[in-house]
Amino acid sequence: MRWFIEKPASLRITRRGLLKVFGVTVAALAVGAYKVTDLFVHRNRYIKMRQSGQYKDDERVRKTYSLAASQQNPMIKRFYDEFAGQPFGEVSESLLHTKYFRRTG
Amino acid sequence: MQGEIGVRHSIDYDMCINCGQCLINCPFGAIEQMSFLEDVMEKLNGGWTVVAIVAPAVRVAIAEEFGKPPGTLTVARLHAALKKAGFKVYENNFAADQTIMEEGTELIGRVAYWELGLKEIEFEITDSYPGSWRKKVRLELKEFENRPLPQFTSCCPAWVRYAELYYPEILPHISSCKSPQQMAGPTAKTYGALKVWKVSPEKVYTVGVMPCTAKIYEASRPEFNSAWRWLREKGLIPESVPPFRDVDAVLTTRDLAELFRRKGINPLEFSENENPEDFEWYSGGGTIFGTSGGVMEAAMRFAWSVLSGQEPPATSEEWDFVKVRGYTYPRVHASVTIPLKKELRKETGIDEVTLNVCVVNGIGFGGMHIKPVIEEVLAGTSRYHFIEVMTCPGGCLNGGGQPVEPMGTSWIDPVLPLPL
Ligand code: SF4
Ligand code: SF4
Repeated sequence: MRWFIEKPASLRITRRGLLKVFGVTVAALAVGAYKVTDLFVHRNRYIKMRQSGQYKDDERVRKTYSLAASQQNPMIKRFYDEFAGQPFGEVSESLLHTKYFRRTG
Repeated sequence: MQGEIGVRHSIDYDMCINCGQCLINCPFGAIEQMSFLEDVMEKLNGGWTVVAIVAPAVRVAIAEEFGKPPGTLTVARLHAALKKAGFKVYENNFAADQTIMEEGTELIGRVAYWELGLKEIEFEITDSYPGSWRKKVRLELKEFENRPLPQFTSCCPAWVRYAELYYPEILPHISSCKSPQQMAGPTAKTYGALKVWKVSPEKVYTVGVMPCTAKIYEASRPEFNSAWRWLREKGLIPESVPPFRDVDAVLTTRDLAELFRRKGINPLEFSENENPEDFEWYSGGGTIFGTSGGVMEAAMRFAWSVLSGQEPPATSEEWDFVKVRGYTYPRVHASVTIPLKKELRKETGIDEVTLNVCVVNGIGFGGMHIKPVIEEVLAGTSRYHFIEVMTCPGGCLNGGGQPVEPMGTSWIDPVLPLPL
């Protein structure tokens, strides 16, 4: 296997070369910064579009089925009546709750 | 993640929380996730009840894989396409409603013990539409000694792993509720198998359909075989049945789109009308889990109605808690004052409670948004009761398993004159 080990820049680049690298870097950073703000604007745009879809769905189930809150869900009522009893009951403790573990050394 | 420019980078897997943000944001689109696609395709060929647990955020993004803009709502059509492919549908939004019932109750318990100094609390969860439904809840609060305030949400497995890795002291603050996916799995294999579908639990194969790469890791956590343990304990499956997972496989939104394509199914060709049945039912509170601030708002809808006894019509603005929505702010905080209903006024001796809440919308580079919140809690100066944490900015709808949006992610492509 061959490893890539980067030599210190000073061994490879002359002073003139360094100036060139510097110039190019500044140019790249300038373009990059422009591009990156652009990127965040774009990202926020599709996040907002998906979010508005999510709230449209909220509106839809409230309007069509009269379901604004979790306790109104007819299947939730069935689940607790036919099976789990009450939140934090014995079934819930076994199936719906958990414990966490320290993972540091 | 580190590496020289132009040289292959490496990820330190012991430190990685599997959020997948590197994948959707990688400038070269070079990172790939593991996939259960082949396994699921095989199980669909017969002999199994294959259950798709569909996350809230999938419905606002999967249409992008079929040429529609982000945010195109795909619900009934998605259900129809899944059924065509051979799945049973278990809405993860239903599981989100389960989560709120449990996590909301937990929050009431923590506040009753730590703020009101009660030893036990009894309250009724009620709903009067279409018929009157009442559920009495009694909590012995002694056990809440080990559940301090503030309470943190637990539905984001990348956040849970972050806490386990970097801030184990905070763990007692995290809700003991499993995430919706991990509630759905064992419910499908117990209640679903035995009472709803009437099939043998060991023949149920559960598939999380998630916007998220951390959910793949979450499903594989060793403790998540609770259905198998419970069924054995109750003598409901033979001793000889080998252990099975609560959630057998996880497909990302991208994987599901690929499965549809391989089966020649286009979800957008189905109708957007349906009559939900069984686990397809969900509330508005359940569906907004997909966006930042959604878990908080759903919990506020529950707590407000349960504690105040108010039940306005579902379309009423009283159910909207707009001030807790994350949108694109990195961190949001708000106070919600709830007047108590008569029975609770008597039981507690106070007229109202105020809940201070905080929403962390993306933990930030190196945890930049979450760290100050945690430090405050550890220093004992936090004024919050409940804190929602989503690792991905915007919430799960911007998760690492979602369609990769050319408009904002793989940004090298649009800068290049020619495609690579
Ligand atoms: S962005 Fe997330 S998945 Fe990628 S290396 Fe970092 S922690 Fe891991
Ligand atoms: S915010 Fe949602 S998509 Fe992102 S890591 Fe957490 S659970 Fe997964």
